Amino acid sequence: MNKHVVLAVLMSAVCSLSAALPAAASSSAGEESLTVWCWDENFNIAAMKTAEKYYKEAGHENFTLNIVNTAEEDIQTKISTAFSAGVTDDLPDIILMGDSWANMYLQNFEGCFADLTDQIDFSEFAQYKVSCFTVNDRVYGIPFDSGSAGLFYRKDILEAAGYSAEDLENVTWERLVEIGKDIREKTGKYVISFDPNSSCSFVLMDSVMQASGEWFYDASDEEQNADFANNAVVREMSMILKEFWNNDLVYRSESRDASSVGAVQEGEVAFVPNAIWYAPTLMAAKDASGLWDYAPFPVLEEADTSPYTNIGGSSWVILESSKQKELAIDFMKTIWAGNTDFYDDILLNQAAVSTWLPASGSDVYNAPNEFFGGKAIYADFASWGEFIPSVAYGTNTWTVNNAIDSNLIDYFDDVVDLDGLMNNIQATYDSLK
Amino acid sequence: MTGKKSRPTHIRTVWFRLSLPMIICVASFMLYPFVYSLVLSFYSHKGLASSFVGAGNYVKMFHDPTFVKALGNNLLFLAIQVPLMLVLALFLAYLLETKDLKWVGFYRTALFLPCVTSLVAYSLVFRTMFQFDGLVNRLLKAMGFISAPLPWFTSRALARAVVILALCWRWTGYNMMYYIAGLQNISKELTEAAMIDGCSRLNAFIRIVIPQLKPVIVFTSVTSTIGTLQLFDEITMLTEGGPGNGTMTVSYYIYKQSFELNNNYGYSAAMSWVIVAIVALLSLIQLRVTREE
Amino acid sequence: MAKNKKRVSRVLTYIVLTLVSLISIFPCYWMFISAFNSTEQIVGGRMIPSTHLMENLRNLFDTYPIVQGVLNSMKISCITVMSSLLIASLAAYGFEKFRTDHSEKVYNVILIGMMVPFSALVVPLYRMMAKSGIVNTHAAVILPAAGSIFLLFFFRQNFRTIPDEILESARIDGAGELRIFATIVIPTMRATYAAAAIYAFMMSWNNYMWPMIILSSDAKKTIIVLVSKIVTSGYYPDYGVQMAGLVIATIPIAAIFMFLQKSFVEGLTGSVKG
Repeated sequence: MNKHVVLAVLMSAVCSLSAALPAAASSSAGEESLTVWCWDENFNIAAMKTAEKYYKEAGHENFTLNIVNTAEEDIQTKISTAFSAGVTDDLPDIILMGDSWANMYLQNFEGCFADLTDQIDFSEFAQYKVSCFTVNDRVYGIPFDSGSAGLFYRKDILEAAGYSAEDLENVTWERLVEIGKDIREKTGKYVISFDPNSSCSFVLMDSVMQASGEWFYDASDEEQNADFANNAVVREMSMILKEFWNNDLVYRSESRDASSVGAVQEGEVAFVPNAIWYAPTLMAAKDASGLWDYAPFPVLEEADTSPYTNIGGSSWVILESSKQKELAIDFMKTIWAGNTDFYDDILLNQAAVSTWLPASGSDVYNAPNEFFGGKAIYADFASWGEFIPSVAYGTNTWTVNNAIDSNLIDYFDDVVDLDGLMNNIQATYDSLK
Repeated sequence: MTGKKSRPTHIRTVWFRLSLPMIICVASFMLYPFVYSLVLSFYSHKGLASSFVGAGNYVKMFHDPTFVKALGNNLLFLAIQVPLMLVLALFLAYLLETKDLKWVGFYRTALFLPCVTSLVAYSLVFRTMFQFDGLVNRLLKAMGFISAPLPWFTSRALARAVVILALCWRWTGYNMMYYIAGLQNISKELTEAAMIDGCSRLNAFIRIVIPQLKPVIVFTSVTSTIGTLQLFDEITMLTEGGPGNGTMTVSYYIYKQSFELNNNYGYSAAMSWVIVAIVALLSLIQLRVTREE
Repeated sequence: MAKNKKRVSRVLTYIVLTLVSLISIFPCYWMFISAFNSTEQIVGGRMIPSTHLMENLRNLFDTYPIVQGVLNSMKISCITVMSSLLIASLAAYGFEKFRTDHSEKVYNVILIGMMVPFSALVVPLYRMMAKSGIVNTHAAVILPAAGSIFLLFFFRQNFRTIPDEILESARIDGAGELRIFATIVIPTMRATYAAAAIYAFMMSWNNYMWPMIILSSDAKKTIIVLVSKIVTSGYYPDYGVQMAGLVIATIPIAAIFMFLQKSFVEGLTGSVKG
C-alpha cells in the first residue's frame, strides 16, 4: 500500500477515535462545584486542595473543587481577553491574583470582580495585603500568602569572611555592599543573585519603595504621575545595585532559571533578600540544614526606609460573573477567613505563611525550625508582617517595573549617569502608562 | 493556455467557486478581525475604558522609546539573521547535493529536526544551555576561550546573539529543504560542462547554479523576512525582550501592551498596522529587486 | 592529483555535515536524555541518561492528563491538516488555473493576511468565538487555522507544474472541475500534499498562543499547552518531569517527518520552480 494512503487512513482513524472519546466528566447536578485558576502545583494548588478537604469536613460532603493549573501570565491574558470580548461564560469562579498587578486589573476591569467588603471581616487580615485589593474603599480579594520579607543568609559564608550575625542587625544596603566585597574576596562566593532585566525591580526596587511607606506615584491621582528625578529611594537603590553589579558580586542568572535557584541551594550565593515564600525553596536543599539564617530586611542609609516590607504574594479573587458566587464566598469565608486548622495544615505541608492574623497564634507557627538553626521563622516573619507599611499600588506598578528593568543596564554599563537613568526611566514610564 | 477573454462567464467564475471556502475563512478569521483592529487603533484603552484619540496612537508610537527600540531590534535581526541563515542553508544544501553522498536521509532529518521541535522544548533547552553556569559557558571555559562565564542573558549584545543563534538553529534546516528541492530541479549538465572546462565546483556553483536558484532565494527570503519582522515566539520564551529591551520586538511589545501592561488594545492595534505596512513594503521591494525580467 | 583533491573535499564534506548535524541534533538529544535524569542532574549539566525516567513519567502522568492532551493534539492537528489542505489546494487550483483580473486582485488581498501579527487578532477573534459560543472547544482552535494563506501560496506555486493539456483533455471528456481536481490534481501532486501536510501538522501541533487563550479546561488542552505549564508553574520547576513531557510532545511529529522525509523534499520541489 502507498505510504500516503497509510498515513491518510491513520489520520482519519485518530480523528474518529479522539472525537469519540468522552470529554472529562463535568459535574452533575446537585453537587456543589467551583472552578479555580491558579499556578504552582506545590504551593497554591496544594493549598487549595487542602481547603477543599476542610470545606467538605465542614458539612459540604458533595463539594468539589476543579483546580486548573494556569500560569500567572496566562491568567492575565485569558481574563483580559474574555473581559474585553464581554464574554465570561468560560471563566472560573475564583482566580489567584498577584498583589502587584491586582489593582491594575481590578480598576481596568471594574465590575468584573465580586465586591467582598460586606461579606468578610477584613480587619482580621494584614492591612497591607487588604490595601492591594482595595479600590475606592471596596475590597475585592481574600488575602493569601504573606510576602513579608527578610534577608536570608548563609552563616558559614558570612563567618568565613570574618563577620557574624550581629553585623547584619539593622544593616544598611551600603554596609551590605562592603560586607559583600569582603565575602567575594575571601571566599570567592557570590553575594546576591539578580537579573537587571527581569524581576529585579519587582524584588529589589518595589520592596525598598514600600519600606519607605510611599509609592512611585500617588495612586489616588488620576494620572498617576511619577517623578523619578526626585525619588530618593530609586536613586539610592540604583546606585547600590550598580555597586553590586560592577564589583562582580552578582550571580548573573536569569531569575526564571533553575540556575539561580541551584546556585542559591548549593551555597554559591551568600545573601537572598526575599519573602517568606522563598523559604521552602531554600529548605528543599536538605543538606544545607542549619547553614541558613535570616535577619530583618536591610534599610537605606540616606532615604528613610523601614526594615519591614513585602515582596510578591498573591490573593484570591471571586469573579462577579460566577454562577455560584454565593457558594464561592461561603467557601472562602468558612475556610480562608475562619479555619485555623486549615492554616496550620498548609503551613506544615506547604510552608505557606498566611496573612490571616488569627492563624499566627497557633503552636505550629511558633514551632522552632531546625533548618534555620531552631528559630521560629514563621512567627518571626509573621510578626514583621504586621509592621509593613500599607501603600496603594495603583494601576501602574508593572509599568514602573518595566520602565526600571529596561533601563538599569545602561546605567550599570556607564552609558548614562544617574540623572540620565532617571530621565530614561521617566520617559519610558510616561510612554508606557 | 487559452486566452482568458474568450472564456464564457461560467468559466470566468470558476476560480471564485473553487476558492470560496478559502475566501470565507480568510475573510472571517483574518481580514475581518484585522479591519476591526483598524477601528480599535483610533482609540486608547485602559481595560474596559476607552477614549477616542484619532491618529494619536500613530503619533505616540514614534515618541515611545520602547517602540522605537523594538523596531530597531526587528530590523537588526532582519539584517543579520536572515542573510546568515540563508547562506548557511544554501551551503548545506550544496553539500548535501554532492554526488553519491551517503547517509543523505540521516543528514536531512538531523538538520530538519530543530524545526519540528516545539518552541516550548527548544527554548527551555536553549535557556538552560546558555545560563550563567550552563553548558556553553563550561564548554568555552574548558576550551580556554574565556576565563569567566559570559552573561548571555544579561548583556544586550550577547542576548541578541543567543536569539540569532536560536533562530538560525531552528530555521536553517527548514530553508535548506527548499534549496535542496530547488537544486534537484536544475539540470546538472551545465555545471558539469563548466567543471570540465576547468571551473572549480564552488565557482561553478556561484556562477551557474545560484542564478538559477533565484526563485527559491526570493521565496525563502520573503518568508524569512515576514517571520523575522513578526518575531514573537523566541522572544517570549527565551528573553522576554531583555535585557534592557535589548531583544524587545514589535510583536512582543504589541502583546505586552495588550495583556501585561494596561490592556491598551488600541495602541497594540495601531502598532500592528504599522508592522503590516513595513512587511508589505519590504516584501514588495524584495520582489521588485529580484524580478529583473 | 585531481583525484586526491576530490577525495579531500569529499572527506571535508562529510566532516562538515556530520559536525553541523551533531550541533543540530544536540538540543534534542539533551532533551531526550534529560527525561531520564532528575532536576539536580539536569541543572548540573549531566549529558548521559540516568535512572529517573520511570519516576519522571509517573509524576508526569499522575499530575497532568497527558494521554488526553496527546489525543486532543492529534484530533486538532489531523482535522486542521485535512481541512486546511483541502481548502487551500482547491483555492490554489482555482487561482492558478482559472486566472482572471479579479482573481489576481483577490489573491493579493489574501496574501496581505500573511503579514498580520497574530497578537493583534487575539481580541477580535476571541469576541467572534465567544459570540458563536465555541470558546473552550476544539472548533475554536481549528477554524482560524483552516484557511492557511501560506499553504495557498505554496500550493499555487506547485500547481504551475500541472500541464494544462491534461486538464483540457479531461474537460473534453466531460469531467467537472471538482472531479478533475479529485482524480487528476490530487493524485499527480501527491508529494506536494505530503510536504504541505508535514508543514501544516507541524504548525498546528506546535501552536501555542491561541490554544492557550481559547482552551480553558485541562481536559480540552493540547499537549503543548499542558507541557508548557510545567515550566511556568512554581518557583522550583521540576525539569526532569518537564523534559519527559517535552519528549512525549515531540515524538509524534518527529516520527511523521521521518516517515515522510523523502516526499517532503519531492513536494517542495514544485514550489520552487520559476
